[in-house]
Amino acid sequence: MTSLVRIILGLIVFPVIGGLIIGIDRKLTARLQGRFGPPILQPFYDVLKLISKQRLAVNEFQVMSVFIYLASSALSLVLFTLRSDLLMIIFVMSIGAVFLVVGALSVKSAYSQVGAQRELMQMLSYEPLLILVIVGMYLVTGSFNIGIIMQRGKPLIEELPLLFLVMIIVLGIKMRKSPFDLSASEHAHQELVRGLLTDYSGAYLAMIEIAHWYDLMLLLGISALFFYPYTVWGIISALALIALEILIDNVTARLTVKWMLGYSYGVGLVLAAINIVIVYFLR
Amino acid sequence: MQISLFINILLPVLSALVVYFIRSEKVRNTVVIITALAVMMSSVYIAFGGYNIFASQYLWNVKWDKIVEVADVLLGIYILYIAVSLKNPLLIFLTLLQIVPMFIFENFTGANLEVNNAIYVDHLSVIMNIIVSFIGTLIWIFAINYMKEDEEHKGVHPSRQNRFFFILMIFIGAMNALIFSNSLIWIYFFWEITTLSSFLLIGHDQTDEAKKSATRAIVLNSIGGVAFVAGIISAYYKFGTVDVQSIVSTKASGLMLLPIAFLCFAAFTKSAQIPFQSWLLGAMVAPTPVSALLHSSTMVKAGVYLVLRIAPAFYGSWLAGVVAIFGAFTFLVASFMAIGQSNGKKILAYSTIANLGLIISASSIDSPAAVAAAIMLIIFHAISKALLFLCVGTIEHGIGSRNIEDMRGLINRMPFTAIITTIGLVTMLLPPFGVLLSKWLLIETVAKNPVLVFMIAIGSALTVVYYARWIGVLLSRTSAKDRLKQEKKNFYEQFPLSILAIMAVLVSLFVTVVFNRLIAPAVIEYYSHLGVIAKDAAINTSLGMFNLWPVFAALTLALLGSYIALKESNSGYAMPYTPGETSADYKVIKVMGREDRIPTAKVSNYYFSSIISEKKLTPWFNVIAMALIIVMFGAVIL
Amino acid sequence: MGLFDLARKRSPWLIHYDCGSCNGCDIELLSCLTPLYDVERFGIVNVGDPKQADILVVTGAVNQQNKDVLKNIYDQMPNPKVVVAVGVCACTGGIFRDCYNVVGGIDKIIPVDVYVPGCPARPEQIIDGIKLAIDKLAEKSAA
Repeated sequence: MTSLVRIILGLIVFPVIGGLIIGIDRKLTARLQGRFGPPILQPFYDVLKLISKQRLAVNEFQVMSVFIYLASSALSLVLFTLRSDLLMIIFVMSIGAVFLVVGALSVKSAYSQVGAQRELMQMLSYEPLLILVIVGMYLVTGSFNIGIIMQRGKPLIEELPLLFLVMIIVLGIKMRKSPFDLSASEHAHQELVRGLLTDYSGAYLAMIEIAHWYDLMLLLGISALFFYPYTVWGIISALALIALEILIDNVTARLTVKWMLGYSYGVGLVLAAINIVIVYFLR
Repeated sequence: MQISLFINILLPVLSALVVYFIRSEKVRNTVVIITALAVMMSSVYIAFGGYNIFASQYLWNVKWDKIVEVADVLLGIYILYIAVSLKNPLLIFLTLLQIVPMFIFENFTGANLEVNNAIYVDHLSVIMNIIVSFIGTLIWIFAINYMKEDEEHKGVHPSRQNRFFFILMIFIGAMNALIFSNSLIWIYFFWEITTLSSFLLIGHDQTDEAKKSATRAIVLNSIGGVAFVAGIISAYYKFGTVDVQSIVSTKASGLMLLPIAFLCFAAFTKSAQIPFQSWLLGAMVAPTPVSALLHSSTMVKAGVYLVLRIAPAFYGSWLAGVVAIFGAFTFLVASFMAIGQSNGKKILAYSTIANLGLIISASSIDSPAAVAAAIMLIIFHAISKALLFLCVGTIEHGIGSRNIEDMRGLINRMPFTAIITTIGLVTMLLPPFGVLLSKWLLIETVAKNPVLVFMIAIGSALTVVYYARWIGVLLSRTSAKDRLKQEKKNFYEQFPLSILAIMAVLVSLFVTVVFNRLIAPAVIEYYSHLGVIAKDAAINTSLGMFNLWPVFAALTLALLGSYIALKESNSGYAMPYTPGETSADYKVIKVMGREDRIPTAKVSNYYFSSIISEKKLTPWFNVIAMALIIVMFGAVIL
Repeated sequence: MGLFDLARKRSPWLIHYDCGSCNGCDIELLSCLTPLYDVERFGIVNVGDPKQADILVVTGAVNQQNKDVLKNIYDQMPNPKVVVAVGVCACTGGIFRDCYNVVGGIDKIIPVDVYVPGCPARPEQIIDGIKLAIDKLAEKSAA
C-alpha cells in the first residue's frame, strides 16, 4: 500500500469507523438499558448539526487549543497507519491532550477549571501505562517501529497478556468511560455540567468529537497490534474491548480521582511491571 | 584560538573589575554589553572556527599551573574567613577538610600534578561553552534593567549593582575556565569559585532568609568539595595522574572506580540532587538573574558536565548502573514534589533538579545514544529553563508575586511576557521541541532496563501535570472582546527574552543540524560509535525514528486554521458558562447567592497538599537517596 | 444544505430548566428519557449545558427571582434555538398566575416557539411538542 493510500486511510476512513463504533456504543448501551437507542449514524448527525450552529467561543486560546488537539490526534493516527515509531505517536497524541486541558483552563468558569484539573489527573493515570505497553512491545520485538514489530511473525499477546489487560484500563481512562468519566461524561450523563467540555459549543465541540474518534481508533489500533499477524483476531479483539468497555460503563458508577489514581498505579502499573519483568528475565 | 580563549575566560574577569570599581551606571552597562557580545562571538568562533581538538598547557605563553595552585589556597583561606565570620562550625570543619589535605597533597607528598594539556578544547567543552556564553551573557543584559528596578523596589541605597555584576561576570569567566580545564585540580579550583559566587549572590539581598539560604548552599556545596578533594587524591593514587583525558581513556574497574564515585558524589551536591536539593530550593530567594544563570542553566550544569566528562571511565560498570538509578530516582521524586508547589520559582527549581537527575542518569547508561540524549537535554533544558526563570522574574516585577495562582489571566495584563512564558513552557513540555525529543531518545535507549524505564515513564507523566496547568492559567481570558493591555516595554528585558524564545524554537527546528555538527562528534570522540543518525528532519536510532517535520507542519496548520476560524464573521464571543443569575461584570465569576449576597467564586489548581507535602515526604526521599549513595560506594568497594 | 438540515432534524439536543414548577411536569418530562418512551431514539439528548443545546424546555411559571436566570440561560444558547413551554404554568402562569411574585408564563421573558399545555403535560404530548419544535428549528435555520 502506498503512503498516500495509508494517509487517506488514517485521515478519513478510520475516524469514520470510529464514529460508527461510538454509534454502536450508544445503541448497545441503550439495549442494555432496555431501550431502543439512537440510530448507529447518530454521531455523524451530531457532528454535522454542531458544525451548522453559530460558533461561540469564549476566547482565542480555546479555539487555538481545539485546532491543535484535532491536528495532533489526526497526525498520531496517520503516523500509526504509516507505521512510524510508536513512542513518537504517543507523545504526539499527548500534545493534543495537553492543549485540550489548556483550552479548558483558559476559561474562567468553575466547571471548565475543575474539569481540566481532573483531566490532568486522568492524563497522569494513563500516560505511564501507555508508555509501558509500548516498552513491553519493544522488549519483545527489539524495536519501537510498528513496521518492525509487525514483522515478528508471532502475535504479541502470547508474551504480553498482562499488558493487553493494561490496555483495557488505558482505553477506559482515555475514552472517559465509567468508572473513569471524571473530567467529562458522555451524552446524557452530566458531570460538572459537561466538565472539561463545558465552554465548547458549535463547530469547536464537533472538532473535539472528531478528535475523540481519532484517539479511539489509535488506541484500538494499538490493541489490535497485539494480535498481528492474525488481523481477524485483532479486529475481533478490538470490538470485544469496546463491548467490554460498554459493559463496564453501564455496570459501574463514577468514582473519585483518588481512586482512579490508586487503581491505575496500584493495578495497572503492577500488571505492567509483572509482565515486563517476566519478559525481561525470559530473554 | 588563544585570543578566543582569553576573551571567554579572562575578559569577563577584567570587565568585572572595571564594573566593580567604576560606579557609573552608563559605563557599567556599556562594559557589560560589549563583553557580552565579545564572549558570544568568540564562543561561536571556537565552535565553528574549524578546530577539532586543542590542547595546551599555556595560555598566552603563561603556565598557569602554579598560579592556579596558589589561587586555590587563597580561595580556601577566604572561604575559611567567611566560615569563621558566619560562626558556622560545620562549614569551618568542611573547609579545613578541603584546604589541609589539598595543601599537604600538593606540597608534601612529592606528587607530580602537572598536566600537559590542562587547557583542552573538544566538542563537549565547545557545546557547554556556547551554552554558557550565550545564555549567560543574555542574562547579563537582562540583569541590567532588572537589578535597577529591583533596587528601586527594595529601596537599596547606595546601589550594590556593581558588586552584583562583578560576581556575575567573574562567574562566567570561571565557568568557561572550568569547561576548558583538563586537570582535576583546575576543575576543583573553578568549581570552588562557582560555589563562592553562588554563596555571595544568594545572599545579595542581605535579608535573614537570604543569609540562611546562602549558608546552606555553601555548606552543602562544601560537602561536595570535600568529596572532590578525596576524588583528586584517590585519582592520583589509582590512576597515577589528575589528567582527565588519561583517566577517561582507562577502563576502570574495581577499586579504581573509587575516585569516580567521589567525583560523582561531588557532582550530586553541585547539581542539587536528592538528598542535597534543599540548597537549590532555598536559593530561589536570590534575584532572578541569579536563579536563571547559576541555578538552572550553568552552575548546576557544571555537576552534570563533570559526570558526562568522566562517564567513559565507568562505562558499563556497576557504579554506572547505580548512578543511573540514582538519577532516575531524583527525576521521579522531584517531578512528584513539583506538583505540590504553587510558587513559580520553586516549580522551576524542582523541574531543574528533575532534569539534572535525568541527565546524570542518561550519562551513566551503557549506550552512546543515551549520552547523546544527555547532551541534547543539557542544551535544550538550559535554553528553556533560563527563559522560564527570566520570565518569572519579569512577571514578579509586573504583578508583585511569583505564585502561579496570581498569574491567572496574565495574558490580559502582560501579553508579551505571557506569550514568551507560554513558548518557554511549551518547549519544555511537548514534541517536537528539544526537551521532549531528548526524553524520547532516552526512553528508547533505556527501555531495556525495566527499573529505569519505569521511573522515567512515571516521571514524564508527572512533568506534564505541573506544566500544563501553568500554561492554562497564563492563558486565562474572560472574553476576547477585551483588548489586551499594552505592556510596559523595556529593551534590556525584552531583548533577552525574545532571543531566548526564538532560540528555543529554532534550535528545536534545526535539531538535526545541531546534532550532526556538535553532539555527534562529541559522543564519537569518546565512544567511537553512535547508534543515532540525524538527517532530513528526523532522528533515527536503530530502534525507532522521530520525524520532526510532520509535527511542526501539523502545529503550523493548526495555528493557521485557528487564525482563519477566528477571523470569519460567523464566530461570536460568549461568556463563560455560569449558571444562575450572573453578575453583570463577566470578568469575575460571581453568582447570586443566598440572601442576595454575591460571593466570588475562587478556583485554583489541585496541589494535593495533603499527600505531597515537602515536610512529610522529603525526609523519606532523602533517606532513600542516601541509601542509594551508600550502595554506590559499596558497589565500588566490594 | 440538505445534509445539515437532515442532521439538525436528527440531532436535537435539549436543556431542561425548571422555573417555578411543582415538579409534576418535570417528572413527566424526565420520564420521556426512560425506556418506556425513550426519546433518545430520535437523537434527543438532555445536555445540561445551554451552550451545547438547541431546544430549551421550560416548566413552571416565571417569578421575580428566576426571571434573570431564565434570560441568562436563553442568552447563552447559540443560534438556531427554540423554546418549548411545557405545562400550563409555563404557558400562561397556570394556577399560580395571580400570585404576588409570579411574573406569568415564560413568554413574558423569552420568545416561546411551542406551547405544550397540561397539568401535568403527558409524556406523549411533550414528545409531540418537541417534534413540533424540531420542525420549527429547521424553519429557523432555513431562514
